[in-house]
Amino acid sequence: MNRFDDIATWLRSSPGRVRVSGSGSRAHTLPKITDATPLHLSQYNRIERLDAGDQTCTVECGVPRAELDAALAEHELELPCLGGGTIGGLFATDPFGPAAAGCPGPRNLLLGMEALLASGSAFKSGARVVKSVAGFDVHKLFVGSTGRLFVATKLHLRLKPRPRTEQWFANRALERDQALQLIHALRQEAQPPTVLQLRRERDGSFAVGGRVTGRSVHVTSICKQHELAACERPASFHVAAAANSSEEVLNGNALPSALPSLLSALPEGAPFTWLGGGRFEAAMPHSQATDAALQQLPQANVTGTVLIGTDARRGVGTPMDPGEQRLAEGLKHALDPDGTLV
Amino acid sequence: MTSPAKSPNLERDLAQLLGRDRVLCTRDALLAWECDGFTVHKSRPRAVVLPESTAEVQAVIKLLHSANVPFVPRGAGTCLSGGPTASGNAVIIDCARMRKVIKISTEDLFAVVQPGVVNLNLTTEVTPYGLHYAPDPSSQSVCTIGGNLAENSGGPHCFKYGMTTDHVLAATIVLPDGEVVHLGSTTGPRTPHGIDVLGLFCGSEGTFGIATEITVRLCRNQQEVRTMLASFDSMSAACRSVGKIISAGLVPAALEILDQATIRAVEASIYRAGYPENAAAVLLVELDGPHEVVVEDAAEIATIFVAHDALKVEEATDPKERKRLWKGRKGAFGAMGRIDTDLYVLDGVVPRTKLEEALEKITEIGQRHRVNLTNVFHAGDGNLHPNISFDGRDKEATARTIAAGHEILQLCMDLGGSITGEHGIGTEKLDHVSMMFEPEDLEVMARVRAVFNPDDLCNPGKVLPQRNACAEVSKWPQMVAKVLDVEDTPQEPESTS
Amino acid sequence: MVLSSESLVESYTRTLDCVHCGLCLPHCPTHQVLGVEADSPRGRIYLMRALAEGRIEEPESIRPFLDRCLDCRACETACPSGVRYGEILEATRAELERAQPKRGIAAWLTRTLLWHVVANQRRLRLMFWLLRTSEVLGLRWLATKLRLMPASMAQIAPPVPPASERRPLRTGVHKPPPGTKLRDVRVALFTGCVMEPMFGRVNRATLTVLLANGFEVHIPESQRCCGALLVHAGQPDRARTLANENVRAFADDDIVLNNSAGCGCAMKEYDHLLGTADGKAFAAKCQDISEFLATEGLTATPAEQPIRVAYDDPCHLCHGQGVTRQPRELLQQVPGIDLVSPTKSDDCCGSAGIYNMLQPKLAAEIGRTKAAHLHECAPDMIVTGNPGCMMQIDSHMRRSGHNVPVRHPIELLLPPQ
Repeated sequence: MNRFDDIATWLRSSPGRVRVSGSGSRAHTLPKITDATPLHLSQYNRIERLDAGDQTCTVECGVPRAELDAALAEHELELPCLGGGTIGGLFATDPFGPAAAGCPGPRNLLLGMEALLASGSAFKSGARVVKSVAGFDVHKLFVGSTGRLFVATKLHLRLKPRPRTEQWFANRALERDQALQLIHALRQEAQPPTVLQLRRERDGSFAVGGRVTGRSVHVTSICKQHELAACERPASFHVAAAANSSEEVLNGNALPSALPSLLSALPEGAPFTWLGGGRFEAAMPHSQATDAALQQLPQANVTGTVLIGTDARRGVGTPMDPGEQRLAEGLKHALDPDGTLV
Repeated sequence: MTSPAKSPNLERDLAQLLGRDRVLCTRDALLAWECDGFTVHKSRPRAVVLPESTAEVQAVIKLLHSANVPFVPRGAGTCLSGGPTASGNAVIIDCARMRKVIKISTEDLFAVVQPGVVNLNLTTEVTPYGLHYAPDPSSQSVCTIGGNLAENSGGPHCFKYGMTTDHVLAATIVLPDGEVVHLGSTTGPRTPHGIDVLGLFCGSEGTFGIATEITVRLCRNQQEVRTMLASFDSMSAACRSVGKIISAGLVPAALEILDQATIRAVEASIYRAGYPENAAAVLLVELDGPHEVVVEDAAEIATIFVAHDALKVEEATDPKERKRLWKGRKGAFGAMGRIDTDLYVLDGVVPRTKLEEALEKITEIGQRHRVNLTNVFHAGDGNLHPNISFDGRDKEATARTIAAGHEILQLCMDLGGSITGEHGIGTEKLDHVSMMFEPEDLEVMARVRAVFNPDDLCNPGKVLPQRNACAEVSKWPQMVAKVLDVEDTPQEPESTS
Repeated sequence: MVLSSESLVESYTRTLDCVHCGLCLPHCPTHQVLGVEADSPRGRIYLMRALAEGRIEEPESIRPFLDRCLDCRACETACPSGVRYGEILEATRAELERAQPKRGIAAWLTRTLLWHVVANQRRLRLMFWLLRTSEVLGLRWLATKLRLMPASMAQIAPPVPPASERRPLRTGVHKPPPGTKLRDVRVALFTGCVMEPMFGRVNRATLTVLLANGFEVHIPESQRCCGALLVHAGQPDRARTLANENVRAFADDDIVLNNSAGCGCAMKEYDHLLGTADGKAFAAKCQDISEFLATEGLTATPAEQPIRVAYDDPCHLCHGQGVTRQPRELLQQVPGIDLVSPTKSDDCCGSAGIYNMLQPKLAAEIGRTKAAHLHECAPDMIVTGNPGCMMQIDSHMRRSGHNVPVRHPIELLLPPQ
């Protein structure tokens, strides 16, 4: 008996609109749907397979990140991407993308999956091994889908060895240009930090933080050369965590070269964070400020969308390519023709 | 499959769009396009067109779509699974003349290229900036970025740096109905609120549309690159060394193994690299990074080699010497041409913990089927490439080759792996897809494809078996029969002198 | 089509060595320009294989693709499977020409020129005398009009040198001048057909350098054109006639030197062309002048040349004979020289025998690329060891507005006057 048969049976019973949920830690970033029945996956929390030698694992979607991390630590392994909650929720929302340029994000770590269509029919995609090009990569659609395309039940993940040495750092109270220069200098390194973050605090000061990994000789040399200030791992990489309830949170993607224009498109005091992989978040004082910024972002080659705000505001953003949007809608219709998953 | 509509003036209409020079319809000459690197499956295209821009590709596709004529994108024709073979009297849209590098950003580390740009040429182009394009299939001096995107190509360095899908940021696609769409952006393959349509497109083997502009990530060259070559007196010692390197948490840029038969073929070819011919296996390791790191990594790996009784260890940091050590690996497949008239390059994946077991069983399978089998593979990824040299004119030998190949793929599946790590399904593995996927899985894939390619005009007959065949557990006996009876194997020409 | 010759059956078997990997594609000049699979080595081999298998319905229809091949052999250097492309191509061209000789004025002219003029020293000299006379009288355009010189040739060819430079070398044995340190080695010199009237100075330089370095030089009178152009044009029978005469002419010599890469390559392939023991023995005696001198070593120091010199590899030397190191080594010994290697020095220049006359458009495109690569390294002089390449490079450098002299490497090895 498959552990997910009961879900399949339930889905087949035409339960109406369904919202898949993990730990619920990111529920506030999703559109509010009142008539949807929640499908909680948090009880499906088994680490089904952990092949330390192959550096892959298979987990049920409800496994909490912290639990997986603990299991991996025993084998000197890690899942090298940011974000908490359940593994399913983390991959379905992909809140951070890659933590630094060239580092893996969820889309690079997902090797395959087992899933249920909204109709209850089970299917799989990808493979358990680190390399496979068999069939179409339907599992790639899970990343960022917020569970609206199908119900993923198990994920096959690629793992990485824990670095020999790691050092978290945070250089605070910097001027804007100092911070941008430090970011630039660190990116020039042949082996740059594996987490790299630029922050602007409410007081307008800037901070550059991140994680340098590798052999101790390398970590020491980078830290020394760039005068990086050691610190503990930050509790959160979100600006959203510190946002006031009256504020909107805008997020999107920006290239390093766009950072100056992006910063000048945002209100002076707006808390802001940008990860080396391209993702940014900004807390906007009011919706007019957001709209004004959204007007300017396309010229700077920056995409942006309201992540947190009132119901009507969520999802408002820079225009998406109409063709890509049509394909996305087509895929939704092909996989969930009745619009069950919301 | 859609049968092409009668449109006698199609060639004329195409010539009107592109000029006569860039539309080829000389029937005999079209034979040159009837297959790619997988020469078992042949199908002559109806015509070949050579567009040079997105607008031209769009115009061609609109014309073909309205005439209900199938079409197939093609790069350099180095695919090993029949991806660009023109099934169903299709027109080949050859991207060979779309070879412009449109933009290079040294600050944001990306390049925008046309699909016909040769993989290695992109790296050559960005070398002055201290950059390179990381995915490096063995055919990198020939194969194109467009083909790499379609096939989600790998290569030795994808062990550390990832496959093509990890390096593609955006693409302009002409859909099979002629609509032009833009997937992803220079800032990343998916926006925070979108889904990863580009991730799905990558590796769709040319069945979802034709990419006409591709944005790829560029990587900074490392301070030092060191290549190590260790020879062993047994394959299992080489495999165990790989296991040890990986489990020690070391991440070399590449980990490649060549077996003895491959070494000998390489050493007899122009790609002679001075590999020790008495070794049962050689392991090629490439390390890159800051100098101090590479030095420590190399020392640690050397210790592992000693612990596994390596016969000899060579090390090179000088580009010329490194090139020599790599030369044999890069030219290995071509060198196989010396063993017999035909070469069947297999491609399967096993978990890296199962390498040793897999190699032993593959040798056994080869012996049982009496085939000439050699191994050269991406050990770091568990991606095996058993190669069978055979004489395609000998039907019995061909049948044995196919049977052995089938068993090897089944072995990969039994060990928890995949039937293809980087060559794709194409037409070659249509009969093996059911080893890995259930009809329900294939049904979902078919639905997804229909979103892009509802009329199945774009590269028909690839990746997914015909619907009625899905349910069969295995068709391989029929496939062997097909080779024996139907396949038009060429006859030895008669001499009148 | 029925395979009629043993060589074709043999060449068919050779096509089977090709595993269709495509590694030759980036090395093929015509594929680089056209991007057409049927205009690549892999595509051509495939078509030739199909022809041999009887799968080609109208052999004439694939002929343009085979005709566009420069026969530069760059693909052979690149091929990991060791496919002998040149042999396959030449056998197929011969078979096509035999089955259906080409028609049209260009084909007639080619045949006439190759056999009745180029392969006949007396008539060749007469032609050059006519050309020179017409030039002196300002009638070069008339020469073109009268088809004494095809229009495309007129663009390629530098002006015909004066009679004093066209005078052939004295045949017989030449002894080193008194006072020279003798080497006790006698060599024979193959003087070539076009080299004599067009680049007589190169032949004289070759002789001078050999003598200055202490070698006795034999120039047999009865030697003929090497026949390479006939082989390329699919006329191996006529080429064999010439080859046999050369075998006889050099019967008493142990070392046969030449200074023309195209001829050298063809003569090293007499083994294959003739299929006789004599042919094999002759082929083994042939050496390019640079091969010989690099092995023997120079005893006469060349005159000082304080200039920047770009060395370009002739295809039939680097791909055809695998000689790349020797000319460079010799040039390095020229006092004061700054020897540079241009980008893609082993890519074809588009000359390829009479290719630039038969495929002027394509040859011009390839020539332009070559000139651009050469210009990049800003040389004071370009050297290359084949007369066709010298003409083509000279023409394209001039056409792109760069006035750089083009010389044969041997000319730089001349001792001070």
